[in-house]
Amino acid sequence: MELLNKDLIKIDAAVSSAEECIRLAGDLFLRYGYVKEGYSEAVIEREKTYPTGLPGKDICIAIPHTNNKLVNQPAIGVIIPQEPVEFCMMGNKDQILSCEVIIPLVVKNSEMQLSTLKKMSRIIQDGDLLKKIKNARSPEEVLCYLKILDED
Amino acid sequence: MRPVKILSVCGSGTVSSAMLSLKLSDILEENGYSVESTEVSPGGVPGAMSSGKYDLIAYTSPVEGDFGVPKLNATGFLVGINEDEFVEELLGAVGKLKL
Repeated sequence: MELLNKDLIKIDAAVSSAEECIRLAGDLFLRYGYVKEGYSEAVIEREKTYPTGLPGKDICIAIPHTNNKLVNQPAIGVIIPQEPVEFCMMGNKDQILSCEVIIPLVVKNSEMQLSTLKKMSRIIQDGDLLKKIKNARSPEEVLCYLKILDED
Repeated sequence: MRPVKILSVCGSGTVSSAMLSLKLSDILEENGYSVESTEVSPGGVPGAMSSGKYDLIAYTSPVEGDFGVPKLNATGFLVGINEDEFVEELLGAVGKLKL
């Protein structure tokens, strides 16, 4: 299975909270076999203690994920909500961020390669790229922008 | 010169801390240092600090307690916000180490 898959990308998603967003992604991960039953609940719980909202330079993003107990295969999803969704900020629960790009990560410790994390870190710092992702008209277009993750 | 030993801390001890370690290594290597880093969740900090000799802690999830080494909040650094200030703080802390 590929780390990136257009079936795991939803644009124009009708979600109005972090929880709905995590469930939408979790349902997709489950449907395509990346995770086991109960994954969404585990991510929602973790998000309460260790939130994953990140204050980007131009737009805020969130990278909800959890540990690997319910994971079959690592994956990277993308949810572009119709309206920004509120996530608490990583490292500072009191700060609320309106996130416009959500990149749910399915992490399996042994298999999430350093090269992938390095590219991931490049993407979350690249305001222009995040804006392009936010304004994409189709999952294919989002996939195209994220292709650097699957290279080499 | 020995490597700078960094403990990177995030919620799960996997994703953000690993990204943090990579970015810290890049910056420090550009400045002539070598780096050894370990990733843990906040719960793993006391254990890691008692068994390993870390020079500093960088975190995206708050770390309770004083371990006698600098603790740097790196959430902004991860996404490239106020990066210069963070790097200044980092290099300042590393510059004081006996390596």
